[in-house]
This record gives sequence, structure tokens and C-alpha cells, in this order.
Amino acid sequence: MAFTDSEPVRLTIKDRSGDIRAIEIPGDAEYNLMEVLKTFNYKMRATCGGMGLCADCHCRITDGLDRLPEPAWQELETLDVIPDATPQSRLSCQLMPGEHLQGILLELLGTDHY
Amino acid sequence: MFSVPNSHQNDKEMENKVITDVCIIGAGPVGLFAVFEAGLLKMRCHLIDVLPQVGGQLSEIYPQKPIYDIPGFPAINAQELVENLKEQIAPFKPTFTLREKVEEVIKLETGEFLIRTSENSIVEARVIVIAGGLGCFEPRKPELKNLARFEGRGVNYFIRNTEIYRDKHVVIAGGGDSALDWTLFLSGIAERVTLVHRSESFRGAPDSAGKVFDLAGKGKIDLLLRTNVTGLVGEDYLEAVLLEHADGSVSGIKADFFIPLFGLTPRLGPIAEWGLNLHNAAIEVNTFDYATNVPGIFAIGDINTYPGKLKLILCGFHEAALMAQSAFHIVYPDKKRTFKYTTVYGVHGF
Repeated sequence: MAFTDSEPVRLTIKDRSGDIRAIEIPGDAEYNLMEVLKTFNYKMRATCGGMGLCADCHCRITDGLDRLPEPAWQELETLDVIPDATPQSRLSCQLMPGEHLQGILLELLGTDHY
Repeated sequence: MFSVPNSHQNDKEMENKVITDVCIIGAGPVGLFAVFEAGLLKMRCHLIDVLPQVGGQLSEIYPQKPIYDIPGFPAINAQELVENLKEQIAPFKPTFTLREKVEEVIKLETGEFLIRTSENSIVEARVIVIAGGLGCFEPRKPELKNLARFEGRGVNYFIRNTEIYRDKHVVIAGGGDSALDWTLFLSGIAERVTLVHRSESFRGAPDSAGKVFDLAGKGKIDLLLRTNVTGLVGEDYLEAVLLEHADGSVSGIKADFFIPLFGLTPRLGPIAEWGLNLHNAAIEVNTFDYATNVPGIFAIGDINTYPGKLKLILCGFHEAALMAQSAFHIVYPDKKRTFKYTTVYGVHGF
């Protein structure tokens, strides 16, 4: 993964079993957050590979949602059709690392390998 | 999976049985290309897929997305690749069973496999190639406590025979194109159609959304936005659904049918019960010929796993080519295989 020496971004992840863990990622990682989370061994099936189509990387941002860039049309369309989306829902494959992730609390939903 | 003698098959099964050399489970790009590689070695193929069309994820999830890593194509739309593959394998006259899920695989004492689908179609083959991608596409289900109890008793995920909805109260949930389209269609058949959608707008086809709003405005359907279905009520059959509205209030409406339309998502399904070695919901194979631990069953494409595995279509194509070399020795145990370039010998169909 192409990480550089930029300022690290610290965020907190709650996995599907309820475990909460703080992680630190480079702020300018060139991969989307779904791919970054996979490198931290969070399981993500990612059927569509990161196109914002399958919602396997569906997550809920329970702190810091207002700091994130607005979702694009494709992300909104996918969130619109899945049964368990909430107003705090995002697709982690559509979030690029950056300062906007600093301090967020992200709760994994979606689908792991199974 | 278990071995049984041929007498297992009854007369009805014999009548409907497809007999082929290779049964390919999954008609995505890799399954389709496997027909070509098998065909070059004079092996006939029958493909089974749970989806109504071939193409797998490419046709179901991202038909209009460009793919940039198919050799020789700087960019090709997913559906165009599927169409090209269909053209490429046409000389080998593959046959298909679509809209059916493989439920059971039985190894006969004769060495052949007997494959039974969800609709009781039977295929007998010398070789099975699992090219099932990430599994069978199944409907995404809302998390409702007693959903399973009402499946087939008022809860339907697919609309096949529209006449069963005539003069009934139908509740559809979802915000995508299919929810909009079926709301429009059933509004002319059902006694009452209610469309329940979690948000306050639709991002599906604007034309369909406009028609839905128009029908709601005229009072011909009920459109409940910013509303969720939270419960199902009934004795033997569904009688009502419970709703939670944006303001937190709860209500119930009469429902003979509840149709949640939240798209499809892949599940490994019955493959997990065929005695194959699995790792993280993928089938372990060797990289010599992508054989599984069960002789005669191969797994290629996204469904398999091995050290260094990359889930790329082009890797699946490679796996199909190597698989076919070994499958040949099972289909034609007494023949010697000679390697032939298509540039030298061309492509000779059946």
C-alpha cells in the first residue's frame, strides 16, 4: 500500500462483534478507507471491489459524520436500497483518507467474508 | 456429498436430465470462458446460474462500468465483455439452466456427478467446475424478527406470477428501480399497493419515480416516505405489517403480501455443504489445475483461494485454461491430449 509520511489520522473502529479499537492511518493513503481497514484485518467481502455498489463495506459514522465530504450520487443510490441504512450510514469504499477522518467513530456493518 | 448407485435416480429425473461432459456452476465471465477452453478440448458444457441472465456480477451489479485490465482491451464495459464472451463460446453450443440454484451434488458409483437444482433439474456430468464468484445471488433481507416464518406465506422476494397479487393488499419496501417498477406494475392489479421507503426521495429512474409520485398524488397508491417496516403480523399467513414513521409514531396496515426489494447480495449457500475444503468462504484449490480436494471438482475465479490469489477476471481466465487440461483426462481417460494453438488449428465448434 502506498503510504507516505503525512500527518497520521487517528480514528476509532467498532467491529461487528462490538470490539472498539483506535487505529492510526497516514492521512494521504492512496487507497479508500475500505481497503485501508482491510490492512488492519477488518473483514470486508467487498463484492464490487470499491465501486460503491454492493454495500459490503456499509458503516455507521457515530461521531464526526458532519466533517466528512458529502456522499456522491452512486453512494447515495446504494444506501437508498439497502434495508439497514440509517442517516449516519456511509460506504467506507467511498471515503478517502484525510484530515476529515480525524477522530471519527466508525461502526462496521456490511458483510464480512461470509 | 455422498456416493450412491445409479438406481438413486427415478424415472422423472431421467426424463429431464441433461447429460454433459462438464457442468459449470456459475455463468459469470470465468464460467463462460471455461466453455471456450473446454470446447477447444472437445468437452461439452452445461452452465447453471441462479440469476436470470448470464454474466454474473458484471451483468447484475455493474453492467455499465468500464473494466481496464482485460488484456487487449484498454477499456471495455462489463456487459460488452459478457456479450463478447457469449459470442466467443457460441461455436461450442453451451446449454444453460438459469434462475436455478444448485442444491445438491452427488457422486455416482460410475464416477459421474449428479447435480440437482432448486427446481429439481438434473445434470449428469463427468466434471464439475465451480465458477460461482462470491456465491449465489440472494435477496437482501430486512432484519425483521419473524421474517422467515412468513416467507412463502405472504413474504416474497421475487415477483414471478403477478396474478397472485390480484385484488390483494400489497406492501412493497425499498427505494431502488425494482421497488418503483413493481409498485407501478402492481398498482394495476392489486387492490391496494403501499410503497414504503426509508428516505424522502428516490434515486432510481426519474421517470419511474415521477409516475409513483403521480399515482400517490391521485390516491391510487399509498406512498409512505421516511418510514420503515418494523414488524410482521399474522397467524398462518401474513395479515399486516407494522410501520415506524419519521416522527417515531407506529402504525399498522393490512397486508396480504410484503415484498422487500433491497437488491441482491451473494451468499456461498449450499456449496459450503459439498465436502470441499473452505477458507474464508472460498474453496481451496491447488495451482496446478485448480482442482479442489474432491476429485473431479474444480473451482475457478473469485470462488477459489490459494496462496497469492488475486480476484481478477484475467486470473480466472488463466485458471479456466489450466483446469481444462486436467478435466480432459477425466472426460477422456483413454485419449492423449495434444496441445493446439488456436492460431494454428483455428476454433472448431460442435
